[in-house]
Amino acid sequence: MNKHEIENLIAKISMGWKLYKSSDDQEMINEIKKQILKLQTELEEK
Amino acid sequence: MSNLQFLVVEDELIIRKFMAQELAQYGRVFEADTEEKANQILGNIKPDMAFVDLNLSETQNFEGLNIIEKCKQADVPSVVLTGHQDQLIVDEAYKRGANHFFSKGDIASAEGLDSSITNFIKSLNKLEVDEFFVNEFITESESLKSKIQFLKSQVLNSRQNVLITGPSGSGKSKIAEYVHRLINPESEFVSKNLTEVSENLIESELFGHVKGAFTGATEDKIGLLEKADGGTLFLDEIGALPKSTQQKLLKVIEEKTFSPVGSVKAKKVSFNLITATCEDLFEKINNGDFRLDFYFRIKGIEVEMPALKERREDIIPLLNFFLSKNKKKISLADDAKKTLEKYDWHGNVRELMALSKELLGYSKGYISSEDLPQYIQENSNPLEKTKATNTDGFLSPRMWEYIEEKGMLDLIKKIEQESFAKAERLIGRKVNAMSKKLNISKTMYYRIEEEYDQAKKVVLQ
Repeated sequence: MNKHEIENLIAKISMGWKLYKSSDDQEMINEIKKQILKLQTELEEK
Repeated sequence: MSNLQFLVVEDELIIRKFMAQELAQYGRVFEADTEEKANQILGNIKPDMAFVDLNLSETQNFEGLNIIEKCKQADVPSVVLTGHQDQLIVDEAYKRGANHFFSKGDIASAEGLDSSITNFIKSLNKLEVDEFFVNEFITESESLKSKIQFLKSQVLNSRQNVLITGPSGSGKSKIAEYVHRLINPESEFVSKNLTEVSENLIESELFGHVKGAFTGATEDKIGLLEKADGGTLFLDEIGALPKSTQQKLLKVIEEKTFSPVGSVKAKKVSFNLITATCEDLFEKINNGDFRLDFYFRIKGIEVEMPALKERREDIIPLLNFFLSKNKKKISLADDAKKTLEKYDWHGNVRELMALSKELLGYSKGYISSEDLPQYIQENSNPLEKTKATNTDGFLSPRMWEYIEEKGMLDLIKKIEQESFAKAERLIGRKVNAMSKKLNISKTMYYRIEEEYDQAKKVVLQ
């Protein structure tokens, strides 16, 4: 992942977090988890 | 605002839902995660605005471009959503009819979409009645209008430096003045074409100088930076700025202080910087003539003005606009319009403006194709012709045309005849005086005289 892709991923997680506070949609929560995991894996690789 | 309808086309769930939530406060939101679903929605309703992700799959097919086109056909303003900063793709989206561009990163990090959407809606409302396109910047090109509209929303949303690129005469100064009026119309607009300033005086011109700073500095001089304080500084032909001065100007942009030449006292300054160039700055960077860090500092918002030949639909409206500024009425015949539209306008709008002045000088009010200058009728570049011939000496383009048509010996004969006629008009037919004036031998004089009289007889017969 390049710098730009990481920034987009963080932006997506940030949006997801704002949504999470007002949503109990399980599909959404799973998607947020998936994105956080993706970022975690990326950071661990670095 | 609550009656607005939005279409959000985005395959990523989080982004789509986030946008839908944010937009819900303005009206009803329709969501689509594929091109097919987006087309279905567009077939049933006409949203007030569509937000379109360019890439709706992992395949990098940029299906969003087709949706942008559909929106354009349906007269629905569209906003490109992209995670890519790829200028080429965004440019393509603009060509297909996109009105605006949001980076996905900006959506989350900004205050939300609120301010951007509000500004965008405002700018859309102004789109049709914007006086700029009626009174100053004549264009029928929708993509150029969108590009300028986009520039406008960018300038209104963020105070960044603006770099205007494009060929000479394409309207860069006009755009610079427009940007200045958008930002702060009440403030000073200081403009300078850097090719007009000699290299050794450029720092004094920009930073000013104190008395005694160099030979000839007999008094203090205020520079352009200080004059533009609180307003806008427009530096045209920025490519002409020497590298050493680029470094100094870069420091001013970053630190907002400068010292006049010959002074150590730092002065605070704040201005909006607009630069323009017709040169390829990347080529200059590669050649080591332009600083990369300076380039990135000045290019905040970049807009490229197209050559006039790339927007031929504007040629006749522009010419009519220039002609209408004069009391004299000029009409163009259909064949003249066609010839003008075919011509490549190497000097762009500036050349067209010059032609309008030339046409106004004609005694005729109805201009046909034959009345237009020869080079326009032939669609040849007068500048190149001059360049090509001038490298070989003093030949004018007209002389070169004559050689091409009748040969060099005929041109020499014509020069002899016309020089003889002129000398005769000046001093009368006197062998000694005329030979002296023309710096020729008497033998040569008599030969030319005989040919001259012979030619005259032929004409009279």
